[in-house]
Amino acid sequence: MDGNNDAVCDDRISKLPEPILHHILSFLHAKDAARMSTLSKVWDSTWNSLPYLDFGDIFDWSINLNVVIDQTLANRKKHKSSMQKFSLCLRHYAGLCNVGNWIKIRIACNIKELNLRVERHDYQGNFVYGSLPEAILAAKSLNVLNLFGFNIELPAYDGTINLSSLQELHLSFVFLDEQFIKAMCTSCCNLEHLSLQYFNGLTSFQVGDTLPKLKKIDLVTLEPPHSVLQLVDIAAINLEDLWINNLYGSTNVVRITACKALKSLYLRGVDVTSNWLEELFYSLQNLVKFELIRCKNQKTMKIASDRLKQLRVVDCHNLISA
Amino acid sequence: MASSSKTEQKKMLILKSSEEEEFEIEESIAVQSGTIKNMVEDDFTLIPLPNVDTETLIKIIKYMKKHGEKTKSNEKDIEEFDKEFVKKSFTELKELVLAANYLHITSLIDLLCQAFADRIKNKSVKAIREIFGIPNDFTPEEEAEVYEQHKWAHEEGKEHIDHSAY
Repeated sequence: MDGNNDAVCDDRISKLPEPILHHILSFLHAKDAARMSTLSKVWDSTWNSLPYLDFGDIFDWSINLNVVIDQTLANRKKHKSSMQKFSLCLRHYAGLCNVGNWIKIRIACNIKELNLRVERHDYQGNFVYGSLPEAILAAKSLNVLNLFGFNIELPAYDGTINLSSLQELHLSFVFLDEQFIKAMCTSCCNLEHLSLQYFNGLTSFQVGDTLPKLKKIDLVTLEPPHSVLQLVDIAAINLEDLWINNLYGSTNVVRITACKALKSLYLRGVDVTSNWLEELFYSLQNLVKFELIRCKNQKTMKIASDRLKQLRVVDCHNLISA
Repeated sequence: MASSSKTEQKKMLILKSSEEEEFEIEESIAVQSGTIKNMVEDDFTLIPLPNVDTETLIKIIKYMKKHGEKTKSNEKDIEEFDKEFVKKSFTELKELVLAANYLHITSLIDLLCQAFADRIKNKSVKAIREIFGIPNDFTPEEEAEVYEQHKWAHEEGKEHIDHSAY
């Protein structure tokens, strides 16, 4: 250790390499991170080049968010720093009208990850879906997209989306329809992980063989009277992990025998038959883990597979023998 | 993975600090470090770490040993360990994060950066300056300009800005 009695050398943290300083700031809310810029030139430059912006839950902010974000982005453009990741959570999203513009700016900066969450309620306290800025569906540099609380509609002008670099798509508490899934299957050729949780609107989920990299699908449905998923038809040939979770209600038709690479299957609230099971184990030669929860209507069920390493069967009423 | 009997001898490595002190550690635990893993793949068993001093290396080995025995049941236990682990002086934390960065131990880098961030959270500029000993190298004009650029960050919203330097 260099011996020194200078106060300058007492600065233990600023001497760390910039990637570590960025990493530290990435754990902070944008407000705390921005404040660091007034500490010294090193910190000013660290903040300005920070590729992440987490405006977190800004419900508590009494300032004009539009101005803040405009300023921050303008600053970054000035410093030509690329924006990798942007997270924003809005409880009362009156200011969301500007988000469209911000998204456009960020897309120009080749943003890789976007997390947007809105939670809006009407005067009766019911959950209301926010409207998704169209620009998001054209963000072709995005690798990861996380959306919570939106009504997902295809762009009005041509109904197509351009998310060709997307690897992960996580949608929670969203309203979407079959058109969107279709458009997604056409555009998101690099998609590896798709997660739809607590969604509404969709009654049939169909994915063809246009997504060769798709490895994992999670589906979690809401309780009635929200839309019930009646049909699942997946033909993704490299799919390894499938999770269908009906917390209430049940899905009648599940067609997945084309997913030859499937290793792990979790079905809850899916009414399977003996024949269906037989066909499943016959077609899916790679299946090693199978969990079946809450399946009615089955008196006898034969589950036989010499490859299966993990089997879990829970709460299947009327089951007499398996 | 090739089939192996359960009584197979665990492969040991030797880690050498910058002060030439040697420490024996199981390979399966040491490869939590990406750097060490690479060297093992190049057939090293004696791993020289000229960038890590003895004191820091001892702490890092302790961390890796604890995290090497992670199972579903002892998650709470490891959480407690992590909490205690970061209760160190800034100098120690700085040495640890530099070493963790060099050794590519992602979970430890995250833990340490989070610890630094926790000390910055909601603190006023003045308090952070005092805690970390960061000297001000702005001219008064420059400082005013930077402050203006981020005025929104300095205004106290509903959250409380802590002016104390603990």
